[in-house]
Amino acid sequence: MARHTVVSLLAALACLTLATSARAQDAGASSAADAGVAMAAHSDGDGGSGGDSGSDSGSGSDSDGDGVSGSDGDGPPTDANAPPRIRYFLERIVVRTDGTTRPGLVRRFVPLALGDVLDVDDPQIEAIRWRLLGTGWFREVRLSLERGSRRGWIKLVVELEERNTLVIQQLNAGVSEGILRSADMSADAVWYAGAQLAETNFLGTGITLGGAFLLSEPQQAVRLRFSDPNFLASGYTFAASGFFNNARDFFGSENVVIARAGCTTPDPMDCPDDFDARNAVVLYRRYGGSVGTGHDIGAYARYTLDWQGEVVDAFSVPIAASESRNGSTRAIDFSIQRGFSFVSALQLGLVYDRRDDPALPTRGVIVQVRADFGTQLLGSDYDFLRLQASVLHYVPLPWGHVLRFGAFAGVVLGRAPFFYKFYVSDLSDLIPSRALELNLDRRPPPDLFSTAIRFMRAEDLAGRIDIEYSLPIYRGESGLYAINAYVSAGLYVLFSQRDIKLGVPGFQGVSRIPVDATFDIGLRADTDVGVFQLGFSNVIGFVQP
Amino acid sequence: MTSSARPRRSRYSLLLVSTLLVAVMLPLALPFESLFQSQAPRLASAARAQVAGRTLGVRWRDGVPYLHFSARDLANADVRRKLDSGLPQRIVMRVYAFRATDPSTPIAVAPQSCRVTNEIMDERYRVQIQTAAGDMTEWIGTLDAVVRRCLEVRGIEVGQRSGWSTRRGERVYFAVLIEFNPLSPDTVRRIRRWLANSGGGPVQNDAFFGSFVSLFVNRRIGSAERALSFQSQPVRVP
Repeated sequence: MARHTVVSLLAALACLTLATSARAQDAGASSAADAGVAMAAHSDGDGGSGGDSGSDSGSGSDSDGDGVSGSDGDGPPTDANAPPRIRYFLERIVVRTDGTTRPGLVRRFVPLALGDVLDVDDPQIEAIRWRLLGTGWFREVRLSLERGSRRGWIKLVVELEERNTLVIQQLNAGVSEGILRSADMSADAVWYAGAQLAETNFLGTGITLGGAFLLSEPQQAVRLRFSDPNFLASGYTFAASGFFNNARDFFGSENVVIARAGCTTPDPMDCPDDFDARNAVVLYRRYGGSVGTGHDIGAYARYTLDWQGEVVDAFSVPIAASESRNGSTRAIDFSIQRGFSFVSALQLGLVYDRRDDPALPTRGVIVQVRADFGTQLLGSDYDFLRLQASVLHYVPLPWGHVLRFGAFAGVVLGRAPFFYKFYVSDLSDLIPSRALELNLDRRPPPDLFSTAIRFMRAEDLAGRIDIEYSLPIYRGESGLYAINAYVSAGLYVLFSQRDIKLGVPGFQGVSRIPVDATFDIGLRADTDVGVFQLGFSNVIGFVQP
Repeated sequence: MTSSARPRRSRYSLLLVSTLLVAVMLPLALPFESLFQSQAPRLASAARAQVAGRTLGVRWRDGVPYLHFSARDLANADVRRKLDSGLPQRIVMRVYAFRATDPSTPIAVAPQSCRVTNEIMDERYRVQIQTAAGDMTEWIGTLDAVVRRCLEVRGIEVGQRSGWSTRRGERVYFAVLIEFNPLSPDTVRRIRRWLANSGGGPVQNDAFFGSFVSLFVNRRIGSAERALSFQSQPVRVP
């Protein structure tokens, strides 16, 4: 489950998750560059003025305050009973900025063409300001009108104070429990660190360039991303990305036995050279990229469609391995082709967001649905379909606190590479989540209920329900805007289709259901530099017997 | 159930039980409310806050107070520049009456709104005034006159005679809150719809991207561009 606004900081045994974004840099005062858009050659003549010059305090209603339609009748008709309207013809759009944003880019946000009638009371005019602020490129946006070259014609002036658009989207740092290779019998604390950064207005073009990396001794990942939010002024997003992972993953939970390379007997247990291990470790590399688009559906929904292709080099996969589940030996399925293979998948995403605030919501709902479809028709060596959906519903309580109900469900059909499956680290708050799709921690689920969950790691079927209670403990005006404390608890299930058919040996009754509990307690702070989240569940997760 | 229970389970169970206990108890933690005054209605917090004092003229007529005061200091250079911008600007004024012994609940309120638009062709101002008594539109020739019209109050009626008749002899005071371009809940809803259309990354992987933008903008939603508040000296209801 995506925990988006997050930085993981871990001191000693603590894993704390934080999120941050770049502080807006004080915009220096610089001379404004008048970047007017070409003036329309209109021959409508003088727009005229509807009313006479006002007296100092002329009371009562003017019969026609219309700046446009009064004399030449070109403007829209005026309702005699409505308040006096003020309308003009738009002669020019003038963009004044203290930065590098191109006037043509700004003009895309003005839903008026030169020569159009501009009604000062039209809510669309106010919308221009908020749409421009909504890009995240500007600290301040001011709109005003200036007289044009002829009576009744005006210039719409857009003054912009640009802000720093280099955004630190995510920081990660911490320590996880890992092993370097299958032969290691001792788990080590492995440090990791990473960041995601993006320039959201590259050279004033509105294009986003982003990069991310994650480094640890045994694993590394890097991502680069390009995104144009309004590609060729079409209203559609165009995005492309590339990535590289040098990674490893951990299989098996208890009594893992691995056959040495060169063992050719059909049953790995018959291999004289097999050895015991804590986990079977697969070493692999991924080289890939994606292209895609996205578009809004109405006011609250948005879809994305991407294609992702990647070459997977699984260069170290145990020739065979097994684990013992309560005395019953079970072969480990690594769900990857040895050597090089190709994954090609279409990804369809849909988000419906009715939250009142993306930082610290108090009401509303967000629904996210995603489908990944890999097929040989697209050249993939893996045929699979992954479906996942999540819902978060925020309910305000009369005394100012907030309840959040959450649900997640996912299924993988077909034969997907293991990194497309659902990981216990993404479902439990007690284990560090994957970052850049690197599985950083080898630990099994905490197994609070003594169920079959203790054998699950990366599986085909997953679900989670949770509830979170949050309360404000601080509200400020600037810098630090708000701090909320939260406590959450939930249940999750994780299992494979094979477990449904065959069951997990050694369990009876409800304990056959691979269910576990998760919980978290911490703080969220809304600050000038973004949202910080300090969750203490990872610390609790390090409690050892 | 498996036969071999691991020792750490009991510790985890203890933590789980503790967390759930905290989750259950938190809603009952009403004494915490004292920490969250900002969650209280804006009106009450305005009354509780240390608001600057200002001498207001209070004249009682037919058992109803009429207030006289000036709030022209709201119109600083930025406000004046905006009033001249050619686009509509709103000045919203609310006058509350409180009992001196209970600053949390207003006993009367009088609203007034001025919507000012500079008609730049003729250099005059359309001023749309809304009061409890009704709406009117005026055309005013100078910005100074607009400021006087909207921010110099000459006899605003606060409450009704029937309401005041039951409070004879009580000590009350008046609090004034004036905001320049406040955002109404309806406007906030519209802005959020616009923001929803302002783009964002693909679902899931880059969700934070859209959030960052919204975060920045959302901080501006819900507050006025400039506000002024003050309260009167205590007066006794005649």
